[in-house]
Parts: sequence; structure tokens; C-alpha cells
Amino acid sequence: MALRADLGGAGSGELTDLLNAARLGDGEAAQQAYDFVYADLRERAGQSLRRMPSATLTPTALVHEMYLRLSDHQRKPLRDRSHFFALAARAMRQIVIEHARRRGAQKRGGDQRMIDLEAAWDLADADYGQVLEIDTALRALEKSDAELVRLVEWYFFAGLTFDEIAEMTDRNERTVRRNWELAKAFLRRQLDGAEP
Amino acid sequence: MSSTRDWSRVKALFISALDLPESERADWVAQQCTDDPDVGDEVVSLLASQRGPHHDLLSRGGGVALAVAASMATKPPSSPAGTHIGPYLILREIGSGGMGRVFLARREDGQYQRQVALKLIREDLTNPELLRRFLLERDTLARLVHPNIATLLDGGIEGNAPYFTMELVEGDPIDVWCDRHRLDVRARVALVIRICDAVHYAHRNLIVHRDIKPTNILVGAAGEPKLLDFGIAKPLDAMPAAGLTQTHGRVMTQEYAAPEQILGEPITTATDIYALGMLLYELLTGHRPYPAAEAGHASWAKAIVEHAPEPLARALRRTGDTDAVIEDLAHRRASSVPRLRRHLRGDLEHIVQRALEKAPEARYATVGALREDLRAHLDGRALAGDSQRYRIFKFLRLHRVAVAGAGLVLLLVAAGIAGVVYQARETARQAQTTSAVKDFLLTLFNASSPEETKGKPPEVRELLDRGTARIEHGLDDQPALKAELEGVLGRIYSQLGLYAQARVLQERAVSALRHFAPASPAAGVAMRQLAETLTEHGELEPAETLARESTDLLQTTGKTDEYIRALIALSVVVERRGDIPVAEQLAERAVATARAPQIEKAVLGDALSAQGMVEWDLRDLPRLEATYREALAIHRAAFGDIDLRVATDRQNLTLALRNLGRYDEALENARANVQIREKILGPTHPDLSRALYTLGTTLYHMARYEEAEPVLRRAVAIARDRFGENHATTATALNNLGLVLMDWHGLDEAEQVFGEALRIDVAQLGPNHSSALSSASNLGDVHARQGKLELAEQELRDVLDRERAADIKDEVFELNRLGDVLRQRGDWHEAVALHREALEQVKTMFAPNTRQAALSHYFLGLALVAGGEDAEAETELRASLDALRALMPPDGAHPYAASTRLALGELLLKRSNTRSEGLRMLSEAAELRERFLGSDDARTREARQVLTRARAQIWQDASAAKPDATH
Repeated sequence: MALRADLGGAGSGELTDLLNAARLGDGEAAQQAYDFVYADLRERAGQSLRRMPSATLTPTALVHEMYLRLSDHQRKPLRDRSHFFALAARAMRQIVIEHARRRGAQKRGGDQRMIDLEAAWDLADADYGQVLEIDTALRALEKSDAELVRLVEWYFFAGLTFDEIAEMTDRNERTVRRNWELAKAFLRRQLDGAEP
Repeated sequence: MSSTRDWSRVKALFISALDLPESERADWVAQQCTDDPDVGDEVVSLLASQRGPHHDLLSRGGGVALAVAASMATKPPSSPAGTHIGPYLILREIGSGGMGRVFLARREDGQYQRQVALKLIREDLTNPELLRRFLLERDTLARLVHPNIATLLDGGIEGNAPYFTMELVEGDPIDVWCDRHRLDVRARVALVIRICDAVHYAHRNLIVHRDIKPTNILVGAAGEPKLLDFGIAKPLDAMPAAGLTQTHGRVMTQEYAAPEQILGEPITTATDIYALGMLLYELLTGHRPYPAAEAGHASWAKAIVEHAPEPLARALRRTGDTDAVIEDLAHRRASSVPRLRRHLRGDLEHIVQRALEKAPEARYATVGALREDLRAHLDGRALAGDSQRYRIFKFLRLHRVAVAGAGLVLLLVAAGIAGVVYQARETARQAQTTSAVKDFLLTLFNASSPEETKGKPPEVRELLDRGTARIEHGLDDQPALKAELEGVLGRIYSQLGLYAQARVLQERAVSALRHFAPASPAAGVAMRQLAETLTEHGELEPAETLARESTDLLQTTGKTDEYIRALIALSVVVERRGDIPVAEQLAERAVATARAPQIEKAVLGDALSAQGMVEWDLRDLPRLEATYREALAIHRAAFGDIDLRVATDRQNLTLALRNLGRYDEALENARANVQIREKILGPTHPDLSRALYTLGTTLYHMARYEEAEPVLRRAVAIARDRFGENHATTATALNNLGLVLMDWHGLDEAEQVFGEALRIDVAQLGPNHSSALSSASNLGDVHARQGKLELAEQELRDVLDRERAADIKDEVFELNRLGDVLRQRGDWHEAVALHREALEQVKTMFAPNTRQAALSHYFLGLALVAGGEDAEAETELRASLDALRALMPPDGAHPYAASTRLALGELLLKRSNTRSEGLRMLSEAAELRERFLGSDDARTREARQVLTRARAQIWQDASAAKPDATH
């Protein structure tokens, strides 16, 4: 089955089925659904962001827009929103990691007191290094606590707010926040430990 | 770290420990883990990692991927150390970011021995247009020479990538510097005052920085702050409309963005003032103003646009900050927590809040004003007091100035811009124009105090007209400003109901924006507004084209709110053109899109409102009612009770409730609708016409004819006056008036009125449009009642034919009317067939127990009586009464019921066992007619005559039954 990011093509109309099958435990369907979402995101995110002002595009808006767009092209409605969002978040993580690798990131360190022209949202080279380490740490965590890894993907990578995550995972917001504290502590400790 | 089981325990312990005060956590954990100290150690170790402020990637909140995705276009960086860019030798890279990279460089050709910072802009961000503009900017920026601004030295283009060099500044970002040197509040304010000087200087040179934040302000060893990176600033006089500021593709620092930057609205000097407010806030409290965003509960964009800034003093103690952190904050400001808190109340709070106002025009008018207030605070003087602009804005906020609302406020912004431009312009002509615009606007405001404004279009109009003329002749070299003012004035005209003028202005705005900002959201919005005006004006075809163009454009811009509004506008015009299925689709799409959580609720209300109007399905009235009620609730919650959107919802609800037979509720809503519109729009606004005839027809349905007539006459008068003699709305108003006249006291006038309505409908909408057919049908009915049966038959047959040809399923009225005419002409057989057909349609199309059902049963009954089918006739007539009773509880009191009772009564009189019931029916009929139509009405007299005759007959028969004693 050739899945294409082109939504008009044969790939559309199948995503719902794939998601359903994936939910029932079909591993291959899960992989294909993921590929589908990933390809779309890769293709679209860059375009959309170049066209739109980034400040008005919140991460949630990006994923929502994607959700709406994919929903439009499905013959059956995408009912499992949280499943979809989980895939999107994981795809985002993947894209970030790839990009970090391509940049040939260095390890964290160096003089932070450079003339840092754009602070919070811009990733300096050192940041990319951290991203890769975070990814490694997450892969280690996946075995013991996959749910926590999902949370990191949703919040840290995809930028959904705690309220949105709470709604989607059917937890209360305070629990989500606490879990993030734990994830942060865990990841930070791994990052600190990796310092030569 | 071992097993999953252990991890669950660690997790649970960690999370519970967070509930405890920091000092107690380690002990508590130790207590819990006496059985397994390894787990305990793990938890404690994690808790240790969690504590304290960090500056790594994990502390920046969510959404890293977005930043990365934005820079995905970057080609893999090559390392140019040792190479040349222009005449500069690159020494090493010293920074990089979303916009480009910064290098340490040195000029090689003997000039400028010192080292400079060279910023290379990302190639992919540029295009020929931007390159050209960049070169222009370079000249502008080089003009900026100020001790607190990092000087731009040089710039050029290397290959395809622009670069520029600037003074190398070494130092700490201002927040770090302040903390490191433990500057107290006064010293920090003094530092900000110096920044204000620099920004003020830039503004006088028509340059807005647009990206002021701590990392853009470095403080050197001597304590002199320098403002960096005016690289994305643009001179005001070349400022394009909103859309173009974004094609730069720059990833903006979201947390420091001003609301207008988030919303894609014009950037002005006020944007810098907001940033200065943010800077102050952070230097004073160590936090940003939006706790929800800082804590990750809300996105920054949403917080900036919607949340009110937290008071300074309260920001010191944010949830999640430990005591140590708060103490540290105060320590770094050379103060104690209670003293700091005191210092941050009062004037400083006022200054910061004003600088952070969401609406640009509400902030300080100039940086100079902000600086003055800061200085006054340091000197211990009182603040300058609210400037006139601020007063104006606060006043507007307090009293709902209905005339222009946001439009007026925007005009004041324009005045603000005009003011700044005036500052720098030398030419007398320019000065005259812009200050005249400013004066005009202020005069406009002064004339528009709430007491004077409502219902006084002439005076305001005169001012507007003058203003329009001035703008037309004065601002050719500032196309952006001109288009903006035109758009705004257009809106005001439209709100006043002056559609012709609105249209001229809006057309101009659209064509201007099409010319120089064709892909911008502003252009899309302007198109939508013009489309709405055209729709009002009845020009549906061009309106539809424009609305489509608007939706197509806005769909790609990411401004979903505006996209939804455009969809709504499109669905409205498509519905008016008669293509209901497409309109329904559009409305549904609008609602679906609006239900996304990040969309403002009020927009969802608008979408629901539109959907209800379009999806008028009489079979699912409960759902329709629910839709309208939801829209109404949303709008009331967002805007209060006196608001045009609320009025529209009430209007829609009126119609739904009417069809559900809940007339009293419908009437309540109809009255509210009229009241709201009158209050906001004044007594002669064209929209009032529609509201009035909705009220009028509601009263008509309740048979309250005497109240209905004046209301409908007023609706007609307004429509004639504001829309003209040949407008569809005038025709509808006339038609509705005709209904009352026909049923009550003015049959001949009804004939005139329907005739006129028909004429207009045919001319404006075509003879096969449902409105035209409606009027024609009504006219036929009048003729029937006048006894002109042959004419009536002709007319009604014609209508039916047209309806059949147009595949219009609802022929109920025509079938019944024609059937009744035929009965009167003696052809009861065909009459029965027609009435039965009508009943069939009623059953399939409408909810049970509607007026249509009642009427159909009634007419069928009459026809059956004519044909001698008494038993069936009785069934039908009784069914009609039942329907009316259900429709108008408790007893179906309505003139139609009178007619039915008359017919039924006469029928019942024929059988001896139903005589008394029959008599009762006749008596009730007479009573009803008397009540609704008055004693002098011909029909009342008729009923009374029938009653009298019947009584006489019964009396006679009773006497005859007595044995005749004599011969």
C-alpha cells in the first residue's frame, strides 16, 4: 500500500481505517498511520510556517489545522482525536531529531554569553545538542514509562498546553503538570550526567 | 535504575512529594522507603534535579518542534571562519538564530581597524523584493546615531544573502546585568529610562524596533545600555499593510510579542511601548506578566491576546516558586520581599499596566510620555495624568459608543500614526492633512458622546463625509494608511446603514489592498466587509464572488477567525441567492471550524447563528431552537444583552419559536430584538425594518392585528426611506403589511400593497423567485376575497404552475387558496383533490399541528360540505380545530378558529343530536370574531346573523314539536 502525503491520492480515506486497526493492535497499520502523518507534517509544516506569521501559529493550531485538513479528506470522520494527536506529536519529535542530527550538533557547553540575538525560541547549536540527548534519554524511558514519553512529546515537542493534554488523556491538569515535573527532572538528570 | 515496578513507585512518590514544602520532602521520602532505600535515593535524586532555576531547553516551555520546523528551510550551515563576506574577514561565529548568523569580523581593506559584528541573513528568507527593501533599510538604519543604540556600520549583499555590520557590543543582557549588580528598583527604572530615550529617538526617525527584549539590550562594563538589532525594523513611511510584515518569515520571539503582532495587525510605535512595558515588568519582578503561560497552562499567544497582566506585586510570588527563589528575587533587587512588594504597588503598577494595554491606542501615546511618567515616579512627582487619548479610550470602553465602536478606536490609532508622521514631515501640505485628519477625528469623537449619538445620523454623517473627502485628497503617498482609513470609515458608514457610501469606500480599500498587499489577511477582511455591504444592498452576484475570493484567501493565511467570518458571509449571500444546500454546507463548515478550542467563542456564536438561519428545516425545529439558543447564550456571555449579535439571535429564535407554536416566547424575543436594535442603531436604521416586520408578523400570527398594523407600517416606512422603492426588503415589508390588512380591515389596501410588493419582487428577483410567488399568491387570495373569482383562479393557477416548474415543494397555500376559489365557483370535486394534496404536503414537510395543517383541514372540510360529504367534512373540521388548539393553547383562540367553528356549527345543526353543540360552536364563532375583528366587521356581523338564524330555527322547531292545540 503506497501511502502518500498527497491527501488527494490513494492514501486518503485509509487513515481512519489505519488508526482503527492500530488501536486494535495492528502494528503494521500503526506504522503506516504514523508514516502518513509524518509525511504530511513534514511537507506542510515548513510551508505553512513560511507563509504564516509564526507568532499566530501556535503549535496546537498547527496540529488542529492538520487534523481538520486530514478530516476533510477522509470519507469517514477521524474520531480518535487523541490517537491522532499522539501520532502528530511523535512525528514532530522525529522531525526535530532529524533536523538536529543534520546540523551536526555539538555537545552542550561553550560560552553562553555570546551575542544572542534572538533568545527564547531560537535554537542555538548547543540547543540542538540537548535535543539529541533528550531524545536518547526518552528512548531509554520508553521501556519503563511510555506514557511519560508521550507527555514529553505532546508538551515539549508539539507544544500542546497542559489543559489540552489533560483533556486528551482524560486526566486532570494538575496531574499532567506533576508528571511533567517528573519528566523534566528525569531528563535533566540524564543531561547533567552526560557532561564529560 | 531497575525495574518498571520500581519506577511506578518512584513516580508515585515523586509526585506526592511535590505536595509537600520543599524542606520536608527528603525526610518524607526517606520515611516512605525504609523498606527499599534505593527507591528512596532515586526519588531524592530526581527531586534534586527538579529544584532551582534552570536555563536549559527544558525550562523554555513547550513547542520546541515549532521553532525547529520554522527553521527547517535552512541549508546546512557551512563554517565560514577565515572566509570573506564583502570586504570583511570572518573571524568566528558568535551567535545564530532564526534569522541568521552572527560573526565576529574585521574589515580587511584598511578602514575600520576595529572588530565588528556581522550579521548574515538566511538566504531562504529573502527574495528580490526583500533584498531591495533591505538595501533601503540599511540607509535608514544608518541614520540612527545615538549613544544607546548599537550603530549600524555597513551592509551589503553576499551572493543572495544580505548582511550588515554593526558596532560590536560586549556586555550582558540587561536582565542578567541588573541581577548581577543587584540593582535596586530605582536603578532599574533609571536604566529603562535610558532605553526609552533611544527608542524615542528611533521613533522620531520613523523607525519602530518591533523586537525589544532583554537579550536585545546589552549593558557594558560602564553601565551603558545599548539597544541591538534594529535589523527587522522598518521605517514607518514605508510600512506596508499588515500582511507584508509577515512574509519576512521570521520566527518572532513569542513571549515578548505584542497583541497586535500576534494578531497580524499593524505594527506601530505603540508596539514598542508594549515591549518596554514587558521589559519593565521583567526587570522589576523577574517574571513575565502572564502566569498561565509561564506555567504552561495556556499558550503564549493566547495569554498575550486575552489575559490581563498580573499586578506587579502579585507576580513576585508565583505558584511553584519556592521561598528561596522569591527571597533571591528580592535580594537581587537589593530589597526584601515586603519592601519590594510595597514599592511595586502604586505608580509603577499604573505605568506598567498602561504600557501593557491590549489595545495599542490605550497605551502611552509616545515613548516620551512613558519616559516622563517614569521620571516623575523617580522624582516623587505625580504622574502626568491621563492624556486625552487615554481618556478617550477609557471613556469609549465605559460607554458603548455604538456609532463606531472599534471603528472609531481604530481611527484614533490612525490619528496616532498620523501624528507621528506629522512629527517628522516638513511639508506644509502633509502637515495640514494629517493634523486635519487628527482634528477631524477628535471632533468626531466629541460629537459622539452617548447622549448625542444614538439616532443622530445626520450630524455624524456630515463629519464622516467631510472626513472621507479629506482622506481622498490627502493621503496618496501613504497608500497603506489610506486603505486602512477607508476600510474603517466604510465600516462606520455601513453600521450607520449608509450602504452606498460604505460601498464606495470599501471598494477603494479593497482595490488598494489588492494592489499592494494582495495576499494579506487585511485584503481578505476588506473583501469580506465589502461583500457584506453588497449583500445588504441586494447585489448578490458580486457579493458572492467577493466572498468566495475572501474565503479562498483567508483560508491560506492561518487567521482562522477571519476565515470563519468569511465563510459565514459567503453562506449568507449564497442562501439569499437561493442555493440552500451549498449555503448549508458552508455554514456547517464554519461551525465545525469554529468549534476548535483556540477559536474565540464569540466566533462560534456567529457561526451557529448563521447555520441556524441557513439550515431552516421546519421538521427539526427543536434542533433549530437549540442552535439558536446556543448562539444566543454565547453572544450574551461575551457581549452582554445589548448587542447586535444578540439581537440577530433573538430574531432567529423568534421564527423558530413561532413555528413551534410558542407565540408568547416568540413575541418576547421579537420585542427584545426591536428594542436592542433601536437602542444601538437609532429609530430609522434600515436593519430596524426587518426587526419590525418580524415583530409585526409575530403579532399577526397571534391575531393581534391592531398592534401589528402600526408596527408593520413603520417597517414599510423605514424600508422605503432607507432602501428605496425598489428593494427586496421593502417588498417583504409590504407583503407582511398586506397580510394584516387582508385579514383585518383593509382588503382594498391589501390589494394595492400586494400588487406593489409583487412588482418589486418581479423586478428585483425575477417572477419565479419564492418571494415573488408569495406575493402573487397573496394577491390572488385578496382577489378571491373581493369576489373576483375568475381573476383569482387565473393568478393562483399561474403561481402553482411556476412552483411546479421550479420544483418548489411547498405549494400548500396555493393549493388551498385555489381549491377554495374552485369551490366557490362550484367545482367542489377538484377543490377536494387540491385540498387533499395540500394535506399530503403538510404531512411530509411540516411538524404536526401547524397553521398549514389547520388551514388545510378547514378548507378540505368546506369543500366536502359543498359536496355533501357531511361525515368526512365533520372529521376534517374537527381536525382543524384540534390543530389550532394545539397551536394556540389553551383553546385555539384565533379568527381562523372562528371560521372553522362557523362551518362546523352549521354542519352540526343538521343533526338533531348535535344541535346544541352546533349552536355552541356558532356562538363561540361569533364571540371570536367580535373579539378579534371588532363588532363592526362584516365577518362578525355575518357570524352573528348565522347565529341568530340558527337560534330562530331551533326555537321554531321546538315550538313545532309542541302539540298544536288550535287549528
